[in-house]
Amino acid sequence: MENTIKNISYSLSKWVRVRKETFGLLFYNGKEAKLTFVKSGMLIDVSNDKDKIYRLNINNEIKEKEKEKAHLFIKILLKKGLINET
Amino acid sequence: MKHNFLCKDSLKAPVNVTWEITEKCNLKCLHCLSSEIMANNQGEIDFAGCCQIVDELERMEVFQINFGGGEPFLREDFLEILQYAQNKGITTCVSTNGTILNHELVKKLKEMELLYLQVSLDGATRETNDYIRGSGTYDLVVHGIKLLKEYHISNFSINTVVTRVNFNEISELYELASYYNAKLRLSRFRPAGNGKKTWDFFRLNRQQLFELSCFLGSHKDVLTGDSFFSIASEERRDLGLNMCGAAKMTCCIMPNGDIYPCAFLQNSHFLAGNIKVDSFSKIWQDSKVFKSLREINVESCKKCSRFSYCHGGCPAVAYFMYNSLGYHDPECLVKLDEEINNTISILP
Repeated sequence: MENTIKNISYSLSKWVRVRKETFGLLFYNGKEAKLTFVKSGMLIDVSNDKDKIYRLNINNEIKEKEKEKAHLFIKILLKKGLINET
Repeated sequence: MKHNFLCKDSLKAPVNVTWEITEKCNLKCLHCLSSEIMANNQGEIDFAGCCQIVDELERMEVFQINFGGGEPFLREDFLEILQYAQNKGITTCVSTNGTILNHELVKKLKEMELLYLQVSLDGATRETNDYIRGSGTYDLVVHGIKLLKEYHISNFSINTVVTRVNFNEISELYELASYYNAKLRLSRFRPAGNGKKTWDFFRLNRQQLFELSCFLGSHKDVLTGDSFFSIASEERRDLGLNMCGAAKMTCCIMPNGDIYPCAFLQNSHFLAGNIKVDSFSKIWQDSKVFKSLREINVESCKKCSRFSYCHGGCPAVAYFMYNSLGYHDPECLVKLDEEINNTISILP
């Protein structure tokens, strides 16, 4: 199960933006002007291309035990509707 | 929890920036927080300069710009600046006095997806509003609000600065906003600009503050822009910030490029820099003023049962009252509670 999840990229839902902070990730829902602080440290990577399409991935360099924690964060973010599977 | 995130390490950039984009205004409101910048007439950053600022805010990943003034729509190139920011993916919010909204302007605003409008109305009646904002403004603003409804613009709120004068009309304002498919947004009256002169007359008394706290608790759909966190009730605890966001997640750019921690701290003591001299990111990261705001410690509040609700409250009001940072917000719900309880206990 973990192996299938860890290679998945996640995109941001409409109106949602994200940026890295020292504590992890800061999400902003522009429709509701709502912030979500995620204390994920280095567990989740954020990248964007030249068209500013953001992708979230579980950091490949973290230990297996930490990946479990990262999956939990991803689950919560999916449930909150901040990200989608791509 | 939010407090931990915002104080342990400062954010790498503000979440939102308030930008007083122009000194021009066609009104002279009795509580205007910007009356001093309009009187100083220090000039405005030109269009190219504004675009450079937007570019930097985009690079820093600022999520939202709240445009104000003055009256932003009086600036001739304002719509271009607004569009430029939106093209960068930045959410925009415009605080307007609503008096110059017309068909042509509203049609253009309708096309903008990342736009929120706040239209100021300081009374549910002509008499009350015009006393505060000037003769004839009620009719002009209501005309503008009707246009927003006619064009099905849903992302707008009616913004009321709560004062002793309009306090009894809050429920009517709530109904009026609902009628126009708008949200009601209540803002705290603070001693800045003209508000310094009218502070004693306009500020809410303790009973009104308590009633307002109850009203907000029972009307969770009323927006506050986090300005009433010092009197937030349990019901609203998770709706917004539980502390002042100045220099931690927001700051304010003046028409001439001066930067302050917040629009209510426009005092030379709190000038953090000027964007024409230093980059915005340098000011955000290195300003001594910002660092001092991030380190405010209101010792007298630390043992308070409501400390986690407000962390000392609004420094701008405290500074006005005590001429120093580090004091508690004088409009504090705990002090209010104590006073009301004492009043009851001495009744026969």
